[in-house]
Amino acid sequence: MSLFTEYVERVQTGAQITDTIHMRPIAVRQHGSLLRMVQDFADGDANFQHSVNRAPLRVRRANDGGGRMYPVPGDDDKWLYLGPPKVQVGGNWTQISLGTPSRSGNVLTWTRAQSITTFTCGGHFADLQIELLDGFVPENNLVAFPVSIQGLTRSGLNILDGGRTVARLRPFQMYDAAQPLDRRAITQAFVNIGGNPHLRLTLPSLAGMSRPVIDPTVEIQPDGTAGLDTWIVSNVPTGNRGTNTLFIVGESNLISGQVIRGLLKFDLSTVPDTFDSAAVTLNHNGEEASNARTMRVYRTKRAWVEGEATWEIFRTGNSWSTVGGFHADDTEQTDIGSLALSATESNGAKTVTLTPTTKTALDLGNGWMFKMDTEDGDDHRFDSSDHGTAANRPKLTVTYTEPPAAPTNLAVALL
Amino acid sequence: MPIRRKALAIPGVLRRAGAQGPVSATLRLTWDDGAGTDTISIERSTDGVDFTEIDTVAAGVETYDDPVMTQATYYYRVRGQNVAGYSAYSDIESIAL
Repeated sequence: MSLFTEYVERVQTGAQITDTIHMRPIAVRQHGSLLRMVQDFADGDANFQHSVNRAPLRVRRANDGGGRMYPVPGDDDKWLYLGPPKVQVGGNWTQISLGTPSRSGNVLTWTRAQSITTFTCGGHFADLQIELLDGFVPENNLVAFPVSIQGLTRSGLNILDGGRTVARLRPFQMYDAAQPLDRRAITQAFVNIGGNPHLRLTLPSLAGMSRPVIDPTVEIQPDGTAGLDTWIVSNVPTGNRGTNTLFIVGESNLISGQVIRGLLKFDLSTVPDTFDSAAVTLNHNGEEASNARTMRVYRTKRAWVEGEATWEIFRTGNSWSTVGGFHADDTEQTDIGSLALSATESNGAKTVTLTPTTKTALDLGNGWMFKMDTEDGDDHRFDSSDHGTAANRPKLTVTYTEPPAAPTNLAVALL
Repeated sequence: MPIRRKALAIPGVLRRAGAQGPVSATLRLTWDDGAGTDTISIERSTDGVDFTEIDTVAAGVETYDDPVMTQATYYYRVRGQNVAGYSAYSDIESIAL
């Protein structure tokens, strides 16, 4: 039995609800081998300037968008023709002037102000996609393609060769370009236009079509009420900075012995258990530095309280194992992220990429300590969650991957 | 997701011995991948309830040939997978040999 006994053609259209209509009016697919055999378009002849001659599904396309597809391998006398698209103008069918396509590999692209049309030959399938731009909708929601076949017959949407189905036009569908799985049927009919057979598509209304809520990024940037951050300073060992608008890390270049460490905690309830990346962004507000330093992020072990933590205690009545909170019992000794800071660091957003990719590894439940590698004469100041400008507050960004959409159109047939 | 079960009686299957005996047939599955798929898991059942994964293929393949040797009704379903996990299952399709 030949590997190429079954061919499937599918015709699909889709439209985007808002400013772009995305159509996929035809795709011809040949299910024959397990691997797609892609052949690049090559120069054709005067009638069909672009041709793929050696793929299992051979295709010849003209500059105007029309073309033939040969679904029976090795038989040039059996073909399906699909002409350039037409729309109505004042009720009269008018061929769309697509112009000359650009060609890249096995893809032809026609670009117009109102549409982008691409035709792809994938070896055992071909795909014609029309994207309508800027809210353009064809007059009366109608699109038509001249069609003809030679050496083949048609029964409904099936194309037959000697009684055997060798190709099939899949049901026409319309969908939001951003939600290809939410599809609506398009009415199709073979009609006579100007004395010639045409395949006419009537696009449905897209009113009420849902758009997906797919947010692969979680951003957490709380304000002063919800945000938990403070800094502890060695020369004011009982002072708390929980409501300060700054978040300072390092050692002052002005006051010797003033070591400062930051404590920051995000509510991770909206973070997925596993994710692709995590990063914390701080808005650099100034520095008192004369040396390049590296600021590191460590997971803290103590349940510090924003309004109570000081150099000496992590909450009222509970002392750090060692003042400053960096004893191994207080804070992990291996960082989960770091940021190099120059002595003249520019102000603005600074992002620290964090290495964990699971929520449990990101935070032990007590947030993080920010600490300079070398705490000697250089501090950097960032905006805290209490800062008046919301965009400047500490932000945690987590990106993750959604599980895939379910496969569709499963079919099983006997070879 | 609605589940469809459409058993198709297929004439002309090559039976090796007797009307209810072994057969030699190849069943071809086709589907459309869902967005974000890295691999597709293909599962088969002979009762439509208990499915066993028979293979996985890369995204974009969208077709699979399953040689079967026993006369039965075969049920199939597929689902996608990526680093975040599995998709929902496709509808169930079946074919009776």
